[in-house]
Amino acid sequence: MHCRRYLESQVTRRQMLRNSSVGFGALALDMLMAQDCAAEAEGPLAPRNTHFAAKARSIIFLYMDGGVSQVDSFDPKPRLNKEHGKPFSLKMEPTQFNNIGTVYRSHWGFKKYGQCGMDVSGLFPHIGTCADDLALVRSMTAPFSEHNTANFFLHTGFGVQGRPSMGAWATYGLGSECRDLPGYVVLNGGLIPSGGMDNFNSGFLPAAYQGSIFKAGNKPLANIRRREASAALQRSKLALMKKLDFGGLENIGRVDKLESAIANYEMAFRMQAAVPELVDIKGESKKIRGLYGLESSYGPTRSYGLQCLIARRMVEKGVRFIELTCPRISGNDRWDAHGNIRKNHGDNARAVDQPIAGLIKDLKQRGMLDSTLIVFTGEFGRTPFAQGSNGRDHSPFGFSLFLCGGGARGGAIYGATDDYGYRAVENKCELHDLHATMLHLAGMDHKRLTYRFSGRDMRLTDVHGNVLHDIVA
Amino acid sequence: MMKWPRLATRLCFFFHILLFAFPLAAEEKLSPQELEFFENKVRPLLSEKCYKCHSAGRKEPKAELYLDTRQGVLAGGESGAALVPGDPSKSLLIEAIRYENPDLQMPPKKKLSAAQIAVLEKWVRLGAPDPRLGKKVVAKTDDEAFDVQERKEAHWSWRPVVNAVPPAVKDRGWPRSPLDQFILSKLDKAELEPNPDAPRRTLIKRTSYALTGLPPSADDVERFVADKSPGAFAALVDNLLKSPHFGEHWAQYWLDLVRFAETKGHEADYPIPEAWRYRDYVIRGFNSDVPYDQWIIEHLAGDLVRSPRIDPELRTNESIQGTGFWYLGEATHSPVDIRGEESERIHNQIDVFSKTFLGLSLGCARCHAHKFDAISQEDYYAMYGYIQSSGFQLADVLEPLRKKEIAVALLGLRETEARKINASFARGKRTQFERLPEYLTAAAEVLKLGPLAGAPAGDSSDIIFEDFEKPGYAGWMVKGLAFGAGPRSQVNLPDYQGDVGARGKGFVNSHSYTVKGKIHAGDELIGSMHSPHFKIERRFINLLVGGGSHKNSTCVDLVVNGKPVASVVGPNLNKMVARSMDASAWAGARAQLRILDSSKGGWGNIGVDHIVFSNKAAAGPAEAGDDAGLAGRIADVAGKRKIQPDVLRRVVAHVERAKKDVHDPLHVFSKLCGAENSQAAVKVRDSVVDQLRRAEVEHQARLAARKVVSNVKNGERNYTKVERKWAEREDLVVDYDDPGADGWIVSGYRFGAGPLRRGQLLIGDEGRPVRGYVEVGRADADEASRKFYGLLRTPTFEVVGDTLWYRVRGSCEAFLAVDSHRTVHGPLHGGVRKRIKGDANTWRWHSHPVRNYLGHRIHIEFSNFSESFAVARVEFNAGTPVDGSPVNQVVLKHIAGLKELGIAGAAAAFSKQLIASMEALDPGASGVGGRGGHARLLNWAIGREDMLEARRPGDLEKLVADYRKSRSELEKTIPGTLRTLAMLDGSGENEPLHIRGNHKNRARENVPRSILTALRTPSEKPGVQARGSGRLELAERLVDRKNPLVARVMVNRVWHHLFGRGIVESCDDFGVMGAPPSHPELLDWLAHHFMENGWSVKNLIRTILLSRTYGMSSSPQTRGSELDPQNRLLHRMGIMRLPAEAIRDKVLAVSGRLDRRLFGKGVMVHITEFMRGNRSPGGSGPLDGNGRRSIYTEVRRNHLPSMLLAFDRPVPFMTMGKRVLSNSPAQALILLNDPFIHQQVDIWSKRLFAQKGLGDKALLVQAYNEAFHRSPRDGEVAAALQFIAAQGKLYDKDSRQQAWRDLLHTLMNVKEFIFIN
Repeated sequence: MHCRRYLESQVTRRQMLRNSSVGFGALALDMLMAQDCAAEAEGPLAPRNTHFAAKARSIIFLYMDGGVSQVDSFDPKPRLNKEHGKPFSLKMEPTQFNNIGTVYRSHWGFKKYGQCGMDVSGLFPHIGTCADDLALVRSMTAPFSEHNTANFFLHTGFGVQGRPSMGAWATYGLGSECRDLPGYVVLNGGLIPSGGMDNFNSGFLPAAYQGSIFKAGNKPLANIRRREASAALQRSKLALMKKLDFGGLENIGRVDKLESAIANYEMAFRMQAAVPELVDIKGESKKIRGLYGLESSYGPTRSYGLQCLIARRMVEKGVRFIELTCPRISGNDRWDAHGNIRKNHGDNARAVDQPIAGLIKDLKQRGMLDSTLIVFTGEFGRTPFAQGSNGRDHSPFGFSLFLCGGGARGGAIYGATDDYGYRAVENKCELHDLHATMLHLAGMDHKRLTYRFSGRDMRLTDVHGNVLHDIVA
Repeated sequence: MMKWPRLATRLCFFFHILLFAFPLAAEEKLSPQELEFFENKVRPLLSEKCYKCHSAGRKEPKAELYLDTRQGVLAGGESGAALVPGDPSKSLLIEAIRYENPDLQMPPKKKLSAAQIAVLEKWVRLGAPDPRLGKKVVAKTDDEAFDVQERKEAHWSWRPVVNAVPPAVKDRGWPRSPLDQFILSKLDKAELEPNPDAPRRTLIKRTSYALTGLPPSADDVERFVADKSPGAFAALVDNLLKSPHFGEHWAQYWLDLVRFAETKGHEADYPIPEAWRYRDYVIRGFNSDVPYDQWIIEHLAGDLVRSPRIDPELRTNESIQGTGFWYLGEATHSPVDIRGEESERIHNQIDVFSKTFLGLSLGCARCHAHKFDAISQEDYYAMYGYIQSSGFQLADVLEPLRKKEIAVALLGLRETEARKINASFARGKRTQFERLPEYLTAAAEVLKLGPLAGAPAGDSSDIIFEDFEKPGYAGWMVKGLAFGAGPRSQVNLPDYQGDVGARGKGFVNSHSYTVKGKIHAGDELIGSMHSPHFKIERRFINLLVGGGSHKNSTCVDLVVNGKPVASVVGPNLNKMVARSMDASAWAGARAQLRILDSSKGGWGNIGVDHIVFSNKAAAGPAEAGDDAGLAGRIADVAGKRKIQPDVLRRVVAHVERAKKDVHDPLHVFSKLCGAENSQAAVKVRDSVVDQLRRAEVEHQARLAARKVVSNVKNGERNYTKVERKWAEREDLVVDYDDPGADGWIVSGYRFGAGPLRRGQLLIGDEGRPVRGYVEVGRADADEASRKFYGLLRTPTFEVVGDTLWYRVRGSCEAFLAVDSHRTVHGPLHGGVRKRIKGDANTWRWHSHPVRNYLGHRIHIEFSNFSESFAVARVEFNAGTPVDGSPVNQVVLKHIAGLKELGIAGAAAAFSKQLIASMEALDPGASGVGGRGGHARLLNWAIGREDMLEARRPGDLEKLVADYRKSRSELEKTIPGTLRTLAMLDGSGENEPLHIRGNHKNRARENVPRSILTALRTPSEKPGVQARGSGRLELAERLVDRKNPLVARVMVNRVWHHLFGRGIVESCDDFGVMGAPPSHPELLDWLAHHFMENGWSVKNLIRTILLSRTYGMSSSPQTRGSELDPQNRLLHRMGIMRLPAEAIRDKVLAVSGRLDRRLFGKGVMVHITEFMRGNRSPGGSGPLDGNGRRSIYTEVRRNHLPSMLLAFDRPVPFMTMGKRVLSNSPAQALILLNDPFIHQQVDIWSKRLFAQKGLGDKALLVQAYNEAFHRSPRDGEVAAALQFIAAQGKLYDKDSRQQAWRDLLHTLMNVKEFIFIN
């Protein structure tokens, strides 16, 4: 499957052409269709050397749109039970809705899981069973309290539009190991994050690194299905195109730009076949389907389960960076529980808990978890005091997220918030640190992964970021 | 840390103190306890937790803070002193370790334990005793080491543009332009040959796409190919430059620079209003070849230029539209940290500005001096101020000259006519005022009180005639059931009547008699009561009357000789009121009172009590009801004096009323009327003066007692209420009575040339020719013309209190622009918009809570006016603000100066005062103080027109009618409005440095607005001279020809678009990190040429196109490919892929679907299923964008057209002078499978097939000409025909047409379709 991964020396198309006495003309149409790994085009997505040995070859980013409440999920705070209904006594920062209620307890009890004894709430009973594989961070902070800026920040390291997404940075730095799929895929579950598609854009990096939006379904990717009635009809067109293009090359002269544009059609053609194959899960066993929650009676669980399963299949194909957005659940606006958190978080957790646990377990049993980094996070956490009577407002001052596999230290619990779960007080870290750590696990030094733009060597982490070595295995 | 034995420590430090003269010993000797405390507790803690980052041991201590010396602690770091000895709550160090401030938490990794915090708190409380010596080591920071001039001298792009001499070349025949010599000379040196000239067919194709982004027509191609004349190419270029499509194509490049979009992105992608008009402005600008220096001035200060550029066709103000580019960036709708959001927005504006116009990355100096370029951090914040000094507006741009003319004409008309009208009005008024004393003295006569003629001398005491305190109606003749058997008392009244206000116990009440044990509910009972006869010996009959006010049916009548001569009625209330009848006309007559209740309907009842005969009326004539007696007296006096009885009646009523109101100008007169003698009169005058002075003192005290409530810390939730005294300087936002030059900020002509000033005449209409005079100055939206657009904004100010108050007449919307934030939608900032609703004629205070914005800088905009709107004052206040003084100083002065205190004298003096005030307000009068007071007095008089004799007809009505007619004729010619986004200059604002770019950590000093240090002469001080922002000055200096950047950057951009690569490859970065120019002399030659030729972009393009270099063939040559593989020396022309928009436009053009119309609102973007989500807009634009060119596709930040994006259309967030050129499978997939492409192929094939009788060969020739502007070569013909035959076999029906469709689709996928050689 990773056909490039084990090649010692890579013969690029250009070298091949140079070495070939007959030049480009010798590359017949068959080659366009051929499954010959060695013929892969040199280009923006060619695999590149890492700065040091990588632990994670692929990254699956589980984006919990809207912000999960830390005190209801991974950061138990008994004090909230004690002071439930009383005014919040710590100094408060302004909140988005400015509708401050009293201290609000969690609706979900916590239980210790695994050998590490990690506390996980009743929201995530399945994920809890993977506790020994999770590296939990309880002291994450973000600089923004609104979704849009916080999303941009989480995805791109800047609170504004137009910067390259972390997936774009990863593919820019590592290239793709997959010759018939894009290196950076967003598996859209139905919710487009606040801030829109720009969370997945390549910003000032070349468009080749842009996230490709896949939908879990029959037409997973824009323009991926040929419109010709049969493959033969398209193939003959492509044959003619090739012939005319070569004629053009003879006439205009052989220029890199033209040649790579011609080569581009090869990748496109392969994708036409590979993508539908990828999303066709007929071959998956009933056991596997059950593991991912595809047999669940709850629609959103089935839908997220399918995304998780396809994510695994993409990892198998060598896709570098896969982001999963959440499914749409009617009656809930993402994880954004400004009111009735009980229903909101209950429904959302029900949708993702079993599929995520299934993904972790499946990767593990296939021996792929060590080389696949899973990151679970929202753009911020939520207030330990109520918004109104039964919701929680945005709060970026101390929230929880976890990493799993791909070199993350299983069972680690890093950092702590205060007694209320409001502010990080121990090992306080910021999202730049998460980015730095993700890149580190993927074999890249976040300070060396740069792109010259606007008179500066730009980085995902700007001028910040420290690798969280304590959660690295 | 190493723990020292306690004794050793102590000894060691005693030695220090002894051996060295401890520098602080003089003022602070440490006690042994203090020392011990420091050494045992404080030092180990500092050393363990702080020194790692904050000590001299570190190369670059964090935040420049040293905690390892006493001096370092006291001097502090970037954020100021680390502590205030003795006061932990004011000490940054303590704040940091307490983790109170989320932006300042130390140590960063983990909070200290409570005990550790307590140690340091105690230490500070003790005064921070500190024995440590040593100076703070001052590191040589970047900023100090950095010298702008040095850097400027070291880098090429700052050097002046020189008129470079074209170098000599070997082949003198080759160059066609001096430009070519620069190219050829470099090739000579590299021993390279330039490519031969391109074929003419290639040339027209290349040139057409380069100038218009559209394919040339087949006819044009053939004509040009055939035309071998020497001027043919120049003519072609000229034609293409004249094409309106030139502007469309080049505008897109410009829009890339200014990150053009029509929405603000982020969560809700709110629209940027009228953004598309900026796009059209740019297209028009390129088409009309606006000189580039002017273009820059328009972008920076188009709102401030003295004579704006007017589009000859649209008659719009073009210049101001350039400033719209500032507002094309992103914005969020509900930032929690509103100032933080502003700093991001302004950062983007500064970055776009500096990259677009100067090729500099000024944005890099946000946090620190630029790492490489000659830009200091001050330069960044000097620019910041310009933006903060300016605000957003939707300006009216239609027919500015015409509107200005009309506004000036209206103003002039008003001035001249007001003078005439005032003169006429004053003449009339003077006559009226001169007649007033006659009436005043007559009124005094009417009201003159005293014993009644014929009454017994010596006795004028009140006679209580009847008070109904006896059980029955003894002496009265009672008829009917209404009045029962005797007087009622409050206890036997039904509750609903309430307290009827009787004197004593008994009274008459016809509403409460029981019939068969029930209180009779209705007013059904009727009856009458006649009193015993009496002789009239007192002037008035006073009584209490309640119940119905039916004349002649529920009333008390005075009956003389059997006939009622005077009558009073109740007030339609059960509660009785005082009434009086003047009986003086019947003095000495025998009379009788009659109480009547003959009414059965509502209020068919009467109450009566306490009938008293007196020489003083209990009620004034105004309340006296139908008092035939008073009327008679008025008629008598009027008749005697030959004056108008109606007028006299009203004067009498007013004088009577004025008694009760000390602020009435006639108060003193009414009081004087009652004075017995001259001594009493003096007392009256002095008492009035005294009361007025006291009222003034009270008013001043109220003013002095004003308070403002605010909290201590800005923008924090934890609110501590703090009340402080109102301060004129801080708490008054603007007073339009005297706003000063900086306080008057308007757009449009609706508010006229300035505030209405005190004493100005308000011209009315035919019914009421003069509305009065302005008492207090104000901004008034009615005085110019309501047909004008108008926006009024205050200067920028800091929010210092909880509540803002507006003194407003009428209705409007008040908008708080807080930190220039204006994307207002909930949840957090809905309160910045306030609809003010009020009456058009009444001044009212309206409050606007602003507590959430304490400490922020804001300005207020007034817009969306009702028919009538004016605002006088805006201020902070804790309670209701204090109105103007109730005391009219002009009146007070008049009273205090009264000499003649007799009735006639006082009346004459009052009349004189009115005339004097009139004269004082004559527009010709000069230097008259108290204008407001005079206006107020006259307005009082104008409001009581009915107290004056009717004005004799004069020319006033005609003057006013003529004025209104001329005015409305002028108004009719006011053109409509067309509004578009632009800047509005505000008050001058400066911003302090943000330390390390953190907007929450600001330096103390403001950085003055100023042009970049490197663009100043070394001796010049920073700062601006102009009022307001000073942008115009900035713009004019930027385009000064001494600034080398502007011209170089622009010619390079043009070169980049024409050759695919700039002479400086990094088009937006001419700094040290950018690429050096490949041909520096050529760059200068072009820049010089550009400036010399009036900054004409078209001329520049023409110059380049007509060069031999541009006309070279693009075929690779062997030697060139080896020696110059990147073609940096331009040994051949480059091969270029069409930009995204041109690809789509070409598809439309080739299919025949292209709609070539220009301009207009954008076509909604087509939302594909992959763009669709929970946040996408409703609906979707058409798949083919209605066939319009790509530039007219609406640019929604969150839904950018996917096809254009795939072909490298940049995301609009930052200046993009050079697009990335990528090659991705998505591009191939689009051309292969996108429904848009297939739709267009269908249209194309149908169009071709619609021509009957063409064979395959002919069709192929046509298709090739349309797609590639050439005929197919033999091999291509063979391949195509073979394809048609083979492909046709794959279809069952319409096989030829299907095969052709497939062929055409294939042609669109052939690279030649999108690559230009």
